[in-house]
Amino acid sequence: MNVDHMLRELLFRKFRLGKLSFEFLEALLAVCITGAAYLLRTPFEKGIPHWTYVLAEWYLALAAAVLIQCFTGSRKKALGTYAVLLILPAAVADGTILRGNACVGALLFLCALLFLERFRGQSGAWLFTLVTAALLLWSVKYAGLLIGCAVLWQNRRLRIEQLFVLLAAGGARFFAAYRAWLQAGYTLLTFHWPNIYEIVGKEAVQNQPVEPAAVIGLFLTMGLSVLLLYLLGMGKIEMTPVQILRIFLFCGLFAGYFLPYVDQTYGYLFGVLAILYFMLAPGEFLVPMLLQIVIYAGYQECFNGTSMMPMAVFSVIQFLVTLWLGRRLLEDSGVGRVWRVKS
Amino acid sequence: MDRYIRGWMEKEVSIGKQKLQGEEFLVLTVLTVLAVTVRVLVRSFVADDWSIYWSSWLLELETKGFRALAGNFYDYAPPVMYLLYLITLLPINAMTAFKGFCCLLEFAGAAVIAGIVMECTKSRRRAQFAYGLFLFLPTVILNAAVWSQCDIIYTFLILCSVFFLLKDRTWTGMWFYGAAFAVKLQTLFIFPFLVILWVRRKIKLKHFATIPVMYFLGIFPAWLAGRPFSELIGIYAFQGSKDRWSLSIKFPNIYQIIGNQHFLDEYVSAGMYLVLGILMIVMFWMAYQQVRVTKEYVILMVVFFGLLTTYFIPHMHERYLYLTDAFLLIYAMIRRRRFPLFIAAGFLSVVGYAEYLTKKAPAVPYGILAFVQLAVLVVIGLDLYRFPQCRAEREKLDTEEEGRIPG
Repeated sequence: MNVDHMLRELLFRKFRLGKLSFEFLEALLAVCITGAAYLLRTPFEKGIPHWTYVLAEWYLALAAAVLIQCFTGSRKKALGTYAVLLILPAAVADGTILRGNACVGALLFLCALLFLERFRGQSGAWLFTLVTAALLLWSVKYAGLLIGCAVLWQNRRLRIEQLFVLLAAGGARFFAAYRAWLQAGYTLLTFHWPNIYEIVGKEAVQNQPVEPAAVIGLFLTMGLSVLLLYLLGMGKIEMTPVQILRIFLFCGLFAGYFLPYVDQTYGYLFGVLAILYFMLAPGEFLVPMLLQIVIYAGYQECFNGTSMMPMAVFSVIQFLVTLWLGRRLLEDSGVGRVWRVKS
Repeated sequence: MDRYIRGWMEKEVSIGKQKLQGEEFLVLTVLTVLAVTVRVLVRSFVADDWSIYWSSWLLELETKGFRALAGNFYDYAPPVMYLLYLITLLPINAMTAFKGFCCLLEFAGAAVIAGIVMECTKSRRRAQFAYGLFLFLPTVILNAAVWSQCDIIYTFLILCSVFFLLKDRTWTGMWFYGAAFAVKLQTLFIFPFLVILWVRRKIKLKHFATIPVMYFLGIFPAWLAGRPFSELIGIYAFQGSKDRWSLSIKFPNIYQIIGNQHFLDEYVSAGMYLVLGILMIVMFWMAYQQVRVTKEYVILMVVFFGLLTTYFIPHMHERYLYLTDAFLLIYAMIRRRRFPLFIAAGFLSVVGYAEYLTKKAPAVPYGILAFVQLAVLVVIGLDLYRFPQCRAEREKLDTEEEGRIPG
């Protein structure tokens, strides 16, 4: 038999392992990309992170793949998600270079989304609520998700009891964190996260009883969030997977854009969500592509101390991405039409 | 007189198998004469690379003869050194001879580009435009005639390779590819397109044997001269370990956005693994793509892989888009609405050349240029993505057999 023919046949030959069926090329990609992802983490000074973190990053890629499989039913898209997340530069920057644990938060939220998708009805919603509440309690950098959860409640995907749980958890952490941070005397308003403060000036006012920019930024975020919820509440968003991802992506980026004292790890979760978003809406590939650059720019400024390009450039890019997502979300909710009728 | 000239311009002139109208012949002649003139006028420029590297290599070859190839004073592939050795035997100025040889290849390359455009579009006019545009591309003029660089050597071989692959002369095409690999490692930037052609049954595994065979043929004389085989085998690895003072050497890629002065050693390996991962994903997707491998698709793949790999591989030099620019020109001639991309890419490349030659930083920061380069990559990537989805074009191709590479 011709070797070429045999090898080409092998590439697309179907195999079965229990209930799992796959083609050889799919298995080849899965194995090779896992190897490449491992090697990608080896050249740095501190070497491979502790195996538990490597495992968490691998689980994150796997959970994302399962989620995409649930959303689309496409094995190839699921494999693509797995592959992209394993070699995501922000994942390497956080886990390997900075020894961070942002992947755990992203993994938890993907699990929450998976519960929401897999368990229809209240059990799924409660599981989602509990995991997200744990996440909100863990770190204030997930505060943006709270706005997304409120939009889910507006569109009857969550119940008011669940929203109260989330508000209590998120609110408590938010209040505790900012109460401490506002009195900590930080010299900067953003820690390598390219948001509005990179444009208006990130140096904090010193020797004053209050840092006005931080307080204003904090209340601006809360005020704009209320207005946003009011606006989105005028319409109705169909709760399809792509819409859910768009809601969380937009709300998260929106909050992080104005919140003071946010650091570079803020972008990690949204970088991951953006990859999932791309798998569901490939036409909007610019969103994840630009977002990856923005997120990595934050990380590189953190570990290099300087940035090749002014961070304001990345802030503007992030603003444009957020604006685009917001526009799409308003289109989804049909607010424009409702607004015209009401006025 | 006027009537005679007009009459002559409409008459057919034969050059070999090619038949041209008088006016076409006239235009091509004028273009060629102008292209020769500009190269002759700038030939005396001495670039740093010439005074630091090439001239010392030539001196070594002049004093020790062919035996000098046994030494490890050079880090270029041996075939380039054989060329330098031959130049030392000539009774003319070495720099003029070297530049002259490369310029000759530029004209030959322009002719091959015209041939590929003719093959893909069947349009003589477009082929003639491609010929003229390549010869007057600023980077092409600057590369050999001013800078004394030899990127045209491997580019010419790759152009020949693709030309013959499009003609369905697979062995000839692959021998040329092997020869190009023996000359420059940069040939590998576009290698994935050959893997896709293999998956699509356009080439066979045995054809890939040409690559190691040509490489060994290339190093054989240097081994005979006395250079250890192990050194010759690893010469490309040694090249890769140089230039570690910046992640991007005046090349507008991702490192101009995220920073090119940090993690100099770490990013070498990490960047390579990242590119490897990206290529795996892209090739996986392409393997499943429902697409008819047309001539345009082949050109598009070469452009795409040329842009993609150079965007992420660390330590890229400003000259490394030379090959891609040539294929982008061909692509712009096939798809005219992509012509602005060709102009943008040409501009991006020339900025790095200008900085090297004038020693002055460009007015536009490289980070901005890197975003433009990314936009070019995205547009080409989208063309590749949409290629099979363009139903109208597929239907057209179904009826136009000449648009295919025979299987």
